[in-house]
Amino acid sequence: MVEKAIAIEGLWAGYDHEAVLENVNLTVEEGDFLAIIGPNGGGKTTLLKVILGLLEPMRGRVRLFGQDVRRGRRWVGYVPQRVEMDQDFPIRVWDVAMMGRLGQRGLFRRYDAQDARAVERALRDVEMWDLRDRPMGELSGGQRQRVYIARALAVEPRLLLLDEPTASVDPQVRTHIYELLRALNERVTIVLISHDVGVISAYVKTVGCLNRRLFYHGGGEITEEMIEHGYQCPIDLIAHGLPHRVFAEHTDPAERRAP
Amino acid sequence: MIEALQYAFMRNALLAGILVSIACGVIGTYIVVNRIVFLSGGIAHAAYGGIGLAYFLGLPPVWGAIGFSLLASLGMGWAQRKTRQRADTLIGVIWAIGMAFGIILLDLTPGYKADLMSYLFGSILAVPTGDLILMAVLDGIILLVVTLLYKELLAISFDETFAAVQNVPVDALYLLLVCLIGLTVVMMMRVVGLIMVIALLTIPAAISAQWVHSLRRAMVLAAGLAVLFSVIGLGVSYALNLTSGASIIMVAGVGYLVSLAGMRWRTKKAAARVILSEG
Repeated sequence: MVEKAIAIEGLWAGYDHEAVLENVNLTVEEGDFLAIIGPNGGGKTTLLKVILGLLEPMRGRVRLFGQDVRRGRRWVGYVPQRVEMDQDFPIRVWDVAMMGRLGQRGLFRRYDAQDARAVERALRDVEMWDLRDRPMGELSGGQRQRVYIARALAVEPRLLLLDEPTASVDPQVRTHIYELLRALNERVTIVLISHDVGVISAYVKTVGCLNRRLFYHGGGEITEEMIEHGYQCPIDLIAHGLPHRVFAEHTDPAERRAP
Repeated sequence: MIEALQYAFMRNALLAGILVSIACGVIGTYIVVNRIVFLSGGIAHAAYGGIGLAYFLGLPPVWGAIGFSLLASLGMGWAQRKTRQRADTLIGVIWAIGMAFGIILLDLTPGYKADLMSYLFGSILAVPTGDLILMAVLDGIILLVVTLLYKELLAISFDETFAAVQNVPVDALYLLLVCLIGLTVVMMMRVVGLIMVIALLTIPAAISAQWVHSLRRAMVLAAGLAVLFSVIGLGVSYALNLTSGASIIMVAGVGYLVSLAGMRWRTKKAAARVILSEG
């Protein structure tokens, strides 16, 4: 049997006894390119924290490649949302990408030639190899985002997990990043969290909408039901230029209620 | 100035300045990039409680200071990590209680308390040889830990979430780092006094982070600058008969201003080059 990249069953999670996520179920097959959209405060970041083992679930079970998250996360390349950084932090592109090898090496061990090769490959993949000696503080937002993707690739991950990868870059850079992710998807599973509702639909394979509960059918369309339950504001979305083709044929929402 | 070195106390002072500068450059760089200057100030002041306790119990003050500053480090480090709000309030409270505790215990201790002021303002000219050995040992511990855990400490300083996902024991390493700060602070109290510890911890590191782009080089440069400031400061204090700790800090402060000016000049020159090449 092929292990699922992510398997979430009956997940409840939140802070201080207040659940942000309610009964979330999600299965991500290897090779998928899933986007999770949803309004702010809908629990996107909370879901990510649970998948990464940074937040304990209140109830339910999360597995990565058939293993407990703390073991399974060594196969995960994580790309954080924060592109802004302390500009004066004395660090170069190469050193940041090298952090992707921490899990492979373990405490007290030095990085070796194998690590250097993985980092070189990752930097070439994102076209940042030529800038490897550049201080991080001197990069543009888009370049910095590429370095964070390279760091995640240096893990040699089976799953790439990205939190709002295009939140603070201009539209042209955004297109570049999505093109890059589509190319990477040929060898790794990708899950990204975003509110670029309009743009992502052209690149991803499946879409889910999260607003405390997850509306997900394993399909690539953004359904009216997702928007209705997920955003409770369909007009706003369409006004932002949501392409028509992402909608499936309309069926009775009652038939496709999330489990 | 060289004739000053014929005095043993002056040689000890110079050596103490150099030994402390090494720890100062290394640990100060972590303090600056992690933005935990306030926490470090808290540790320095809380350590005074340990000095009071040691006097009260008739123990060597430096051991009291080490024990107390490690306890304060762990307490404040925990507050910084685990309480979601008002870590700075908690740190401020421990800061003040530690200091007050020390002063009250000293009030309760009968007899003559000669060198209490020296912990507040430093007394680099009165460093006994035993303290030099202790400083060398602490330097050794700090350099060993930082060498062995360089990649992990860099990772938790730059992006602790990513480090955690990579299964780096972030909390344990953070507490270890805070304890190293505690040890450094105790060494430095001898030289500049606890009130000015923060200045010597942060100024060299803040300067070096502006000029170099790797943490390792920043540490080396910061240590070098700290040595420079201590030696010049000592010279100034000897020549003009001024308080040594304050002289060192003043020299460091001037160094910081010079570096800021140099940085501005460099940025302007770079901007001018861009305009020229575009025009």
